[in-house]
Amino acid sequence: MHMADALISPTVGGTFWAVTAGTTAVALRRLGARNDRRVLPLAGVLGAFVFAAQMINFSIPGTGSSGHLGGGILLASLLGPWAGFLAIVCVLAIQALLFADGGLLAFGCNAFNLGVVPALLVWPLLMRPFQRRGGRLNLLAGSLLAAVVALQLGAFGVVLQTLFSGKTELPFRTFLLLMQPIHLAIGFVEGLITAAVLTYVDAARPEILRSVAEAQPLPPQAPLSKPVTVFALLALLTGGVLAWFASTFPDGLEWSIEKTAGTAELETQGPVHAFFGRLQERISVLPDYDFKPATTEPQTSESSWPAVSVGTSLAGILGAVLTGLLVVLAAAVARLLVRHNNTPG
Amino acid sequence: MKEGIHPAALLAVTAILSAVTASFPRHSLAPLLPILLYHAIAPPLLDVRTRRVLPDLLRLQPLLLLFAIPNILPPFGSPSTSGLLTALSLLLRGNLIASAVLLAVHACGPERLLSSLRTFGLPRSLLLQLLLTWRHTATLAEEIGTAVLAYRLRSFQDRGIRPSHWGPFAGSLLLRGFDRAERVHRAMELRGVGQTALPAPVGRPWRISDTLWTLGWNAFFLLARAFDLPLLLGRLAVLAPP
Repeated sequence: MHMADALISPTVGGTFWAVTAGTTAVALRRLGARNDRRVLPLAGVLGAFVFAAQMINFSIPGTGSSGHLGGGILLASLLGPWAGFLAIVCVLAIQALLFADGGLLAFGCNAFNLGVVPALLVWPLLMRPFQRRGGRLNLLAGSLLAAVVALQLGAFGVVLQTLFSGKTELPFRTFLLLMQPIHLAIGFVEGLITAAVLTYVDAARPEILRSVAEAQPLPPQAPLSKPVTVFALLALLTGGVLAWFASTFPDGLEWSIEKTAGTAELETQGPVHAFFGRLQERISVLPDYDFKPATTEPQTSESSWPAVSVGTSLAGILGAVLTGLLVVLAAAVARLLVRHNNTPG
Repeated sequence: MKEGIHPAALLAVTAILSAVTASFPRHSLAPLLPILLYHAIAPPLLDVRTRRVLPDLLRLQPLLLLFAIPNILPPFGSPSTSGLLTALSLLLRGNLIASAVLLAVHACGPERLLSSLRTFGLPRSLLLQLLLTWRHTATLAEEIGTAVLAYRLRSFQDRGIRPSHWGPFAGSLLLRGFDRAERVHRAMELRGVGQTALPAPVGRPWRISDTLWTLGWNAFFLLARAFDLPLLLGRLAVLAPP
């Protein structure tokens, strides 16, 4: 369920980058406190294993997402939730950086849907109790339940993140109908595969699964000031810089309000609303995320889409053609320059 | 450019390109075209041949097409011009971003690109795990080859692995991988490569050309996002006829 960059707005992508960075910092601190030298090579091998398994993927039409095994439950079962999360982060980073699969901007969303949800939310709640009891039936039941729930939640995350980004034409219901059923099937298959692998590992090396399931909660950690600072800085960057590039289209919530209420701005009634409305108007420095307009400045009406204008259309077409020509020219010049520099003598 | 650009500079430019390209409204087509300048100028400067990038880019096309097409032909609705524009814009944006990433990989190689993440403050332990994961893919491929060969030799039939054996096969593959990874890791530790030392350096120091590359391209991308450059160019042409 890798999301592509083309379907994510920088605001949504940046927010989930911040969440992933914060979670990664906490995971590194927890693993550092445990000081378990075996985790690193094991995470590497398991990461490579999941990486290979995720190569078998197929596109889900219209959703900007691909369907494949998640691997989060398997990783968390064999490594523990924090190391499992880090292994998934590494797999996703390699896929995004080296294979353009998933995207750099969407990395945070992917790490959240495929890492945080299965390893840090679903595994401790649903899989761990079954894993603690051990045995083939428990592992099968736990794997099936955890894999299906993790993939359903992850797929729902994809739906929400894409809709909040506002980059697709598909309405919420259609998007949901495309994503959820297909991930139900994938979740079932992933559950069976996870159960098969865990059953074998349980039979051959029972200490691996037991040690993860029985892991005692770690002692109080070193102060989390550094991760929190990193998180805060990233959040500032997201809000302060990336929001410049926020889509001009209404966000998912506004969109849904507009669809259900017929207007993006809900009217308020009563003296309390009126009082707070006046107060907000007086104290807000940046209404609607922009500086207050000068009172004497005439208000321009909001442009509708598509803005039909012959001059603009002509300029647009000409401009596109000229830009294309410029690109071709620039490529030719760059090649000529490089060839000239490489000529011996 | 004999020594090329620093991988971190390439990564920074690719990241900003991705963010800027993704930030265009969903119907944008012409305003995206200036971004193509990077794809036109960078490959020769980075000494990357387009025909090396194209096969990887083609491999991603089905994925891009399958999420673009339903915008034109929605499963539960009627086709619209708006959907067509969205689909074309998605295809263009997807290809612009993917080709920039592939260009960076082909320009400096996977290990140098991953190692350059250290420049952005990635913790050493995470970087080491990232590199280990990447390297273990080769180890795992070898193990898979050995295991499949062993299975075939014992099965006396060349019909692949039975579905009932998939679980034990994957499980034993994992355990073999575990053991091998542990051996390799111990050997690395004995040679002084642990959580504090990195096995793969980036290669060369940061130079002024890297700064210029990063600032120049990123400024151009931001400019392309802030102004509709093709439209401005077109207006100039309309205002000043020959």
